[in-house]
Amino acid sequence: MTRPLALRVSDLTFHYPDGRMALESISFEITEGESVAIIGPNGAGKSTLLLHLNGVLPGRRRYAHSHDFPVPEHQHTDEPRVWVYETPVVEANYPEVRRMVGLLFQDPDDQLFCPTVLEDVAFGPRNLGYSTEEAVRIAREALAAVGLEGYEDRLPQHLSFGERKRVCLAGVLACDPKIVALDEPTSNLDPRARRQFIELIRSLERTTLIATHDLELVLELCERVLVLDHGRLFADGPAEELLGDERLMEKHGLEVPLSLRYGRRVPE
Amino acid sequence: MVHRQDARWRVCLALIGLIAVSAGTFQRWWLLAGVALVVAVLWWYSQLSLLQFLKRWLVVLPAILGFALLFLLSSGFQAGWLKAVELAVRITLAVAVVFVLTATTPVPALLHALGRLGLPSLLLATAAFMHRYGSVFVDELQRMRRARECRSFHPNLFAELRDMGWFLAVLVVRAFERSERVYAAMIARGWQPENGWPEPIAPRMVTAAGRKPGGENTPSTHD
Repeated sequence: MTRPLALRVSDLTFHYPDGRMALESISFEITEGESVAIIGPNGAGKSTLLLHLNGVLPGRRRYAHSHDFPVPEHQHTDEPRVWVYETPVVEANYPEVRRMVGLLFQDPDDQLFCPTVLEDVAFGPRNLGYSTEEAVRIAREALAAVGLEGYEDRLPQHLSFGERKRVCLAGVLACDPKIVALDEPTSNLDPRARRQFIELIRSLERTTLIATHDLELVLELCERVLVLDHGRLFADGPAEELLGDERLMEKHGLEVPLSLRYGRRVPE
Repeated sequence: MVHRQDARWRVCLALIGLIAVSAGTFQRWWLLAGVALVVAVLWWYSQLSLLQFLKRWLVVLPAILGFALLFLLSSGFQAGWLKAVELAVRITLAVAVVFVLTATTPVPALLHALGRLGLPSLLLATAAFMHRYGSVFVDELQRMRRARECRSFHPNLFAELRDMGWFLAVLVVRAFERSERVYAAMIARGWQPENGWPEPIAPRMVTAAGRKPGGENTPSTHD
């Protein structure tokens, strides 16, 4: 049985107010259950692309052109460019789309804004219309899923970086999204926290999109890779094949992962 | 004892204390004496730290000194110093009232109590964000100062003032950028501006299983 299309991006273009192009004619499709990595150098547009998946960016920013940067030929349109399970990402569908796509931000301090851990994890379910009691129950389950039982009344500023990352993931999981989009999930984590986080991502069993520089993580978790550079999609293919292509990697500010270069991948 | 009382009672009691302090003068000394007595009793029961209080009191000391100078210059020494002492007593008592409240009430419980007492959600959200991000910005400020010192910075008053201006300007810009990212994170989890800030969850529901409400929020040392 063919799996349904989870995500479709078609000719997506976006530029910042100063005219700098962030994304240029991006198109790809992701089927349900796939685990896909978006890789590329700093400023490639990876985070910007993720923000488009649940309508965080285009709804708020319909920028007019300025002349600080040369802007390639393109048209501004209100036509949808992203579809989540065939639902177009347009303002009228934002609540539905945001229920389906969970976004993990790179900096946990951006995502943990409530006074306590439990309130933060319950924030999403409460927005989805659950009663406070039900939202608290869901939040406790989500915290247990990321191994943070007993952290409910902790203050976010008193947690370590790795713990904050896991609370953020619990906040995403509490909304029970069909697609999880993770922005640099392992950045700034020490090896033990990184390993914990990788195992958590592996256990998600959902369509996963990971924007990262951690190419070893990509090899472990993703079967497919998109290479993004200067806002353009340069390659889309199997992870091992693309990550092992030295010319492609070097051309886009990346490098072949050591485990591939020296054939030292640890068997699972 | 104070820790176990409903936070709303504590907020109301503190509010009454602040009103009494603002209405009190040396002529109405019994108001100030009453507040001082209640504060002293609660202080003794709660075993609060004098050092922590003095740290907070030092924050308002410049204001006390400024007003004292103003009184001395405008009313003459004879009447001025009495007004200055009176103001110092009132400000000190007000700081003590707020100190007893905040030292015995965790901020989440305080926010919940304020919400239940009808504080508008916008003010509640502002207070919650100030509490959450105050320490983040202090950390950023400390990192900038450390980076400056690592580059052979020799402190003097002028350079300190100039750099503090730069740091504050940088922090304002960073705060603005962060506010955009926090807003994005909020709407990414289904929040809509017309919904307003959600009412804080009651502390008894937030408390982890097997822990006492309002227990210590100790910083994590592992990971």
